[in-house]
Amino acid sequence: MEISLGKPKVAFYWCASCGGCEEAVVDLAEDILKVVEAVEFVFWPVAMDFKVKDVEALSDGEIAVSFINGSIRTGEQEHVAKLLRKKSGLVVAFGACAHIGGTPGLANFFNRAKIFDWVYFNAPSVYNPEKIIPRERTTVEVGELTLPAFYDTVYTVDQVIDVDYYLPGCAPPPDLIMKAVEAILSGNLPEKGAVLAPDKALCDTCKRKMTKPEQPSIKEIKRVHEVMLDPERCFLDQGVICLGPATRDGCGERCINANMPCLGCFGSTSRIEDQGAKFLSALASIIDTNDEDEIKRIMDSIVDPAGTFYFYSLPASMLRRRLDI
Amino acid sequence: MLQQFGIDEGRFRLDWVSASEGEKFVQVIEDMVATVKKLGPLKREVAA
Repeated sequence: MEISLGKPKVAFYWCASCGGCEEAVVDLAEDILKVVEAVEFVFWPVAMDFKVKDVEALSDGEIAVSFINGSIRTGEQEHVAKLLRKKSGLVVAFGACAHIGGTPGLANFFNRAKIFDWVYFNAPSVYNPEKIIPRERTTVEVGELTLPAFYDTVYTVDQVIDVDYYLPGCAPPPDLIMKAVEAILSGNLPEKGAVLAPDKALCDTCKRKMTKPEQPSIKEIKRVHEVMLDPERCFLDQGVICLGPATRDGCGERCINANMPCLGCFGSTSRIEDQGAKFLSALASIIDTNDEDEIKRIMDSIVDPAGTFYFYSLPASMLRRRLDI
Repeated sequence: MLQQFGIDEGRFRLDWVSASEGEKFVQVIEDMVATVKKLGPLKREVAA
């Protein structure tokens, strides 16, 4: 990687995301001063007034590292991701949406037409008698206005460009961000394609693991609002779905400590191909009955199983998406 | 869950065959192959 004289150049871009990843950078608190001292930001739309043309003006590979958060669902996001790839030595997919698709990826249960129908016509709060929807090109008095294309499918960043490293989480915790930045600045980097977090399951470090069911114990599945949750006991042992067995560790157990089960934002460990399928397998092994009808009754009590098991990882699933919507 | 993904129920089958049930094993495999062939290719979206 060639770095020009002076501080390494860094870009930070958001695609289909909520802004939480940007806040995670601010959450570095005083550590952010160390980062700002060590690097030169050349593109960070949420915080600084750079334009895409400023990036276009850089030479290829001139940016030392680009952090891209958010999944890819519009033409503009794809364009900027490809541009940053060309201009950057390293690209880091930053946060759950960039890494495995994130919650915007749940839109892959629908397509563009279904989403537009709901958002612009059918949602109860919408009043749109003229049936106006966004169009990629609109001619007005002063000329032609354009909007980015909206895709049928939400993609992870690595489905669109080559990615060097992944920082998982919704949002990535400050300690992992700082470790990643230090590793990049010192050139002390792991193998390409690595997820910059521990490679073990969340259950391994969970304080509640002593009560994790080893034998089938679930006779009923409940949602968090239907039960008074014991703050010490494994969620699965309480019949509440917790994606810990299928999820990578390293988050600091922020949800667990707040007495909420894991939703899976870190994705799975390197040994797991498909997070949702892995969780389904883990859950199936602790359902406490051998009666087929009873198994069906228990499993049918899960509201929206695919949306729960793939809450963050639908675009990254090996099942991809249906086309016959 | 597979229904939500739009995957036909016929594509998934769980059966138990013991080591001594060779004939049953052949039958189960043949049935499954015939079912999947009849359903045709699994049409999924491919990466961009």
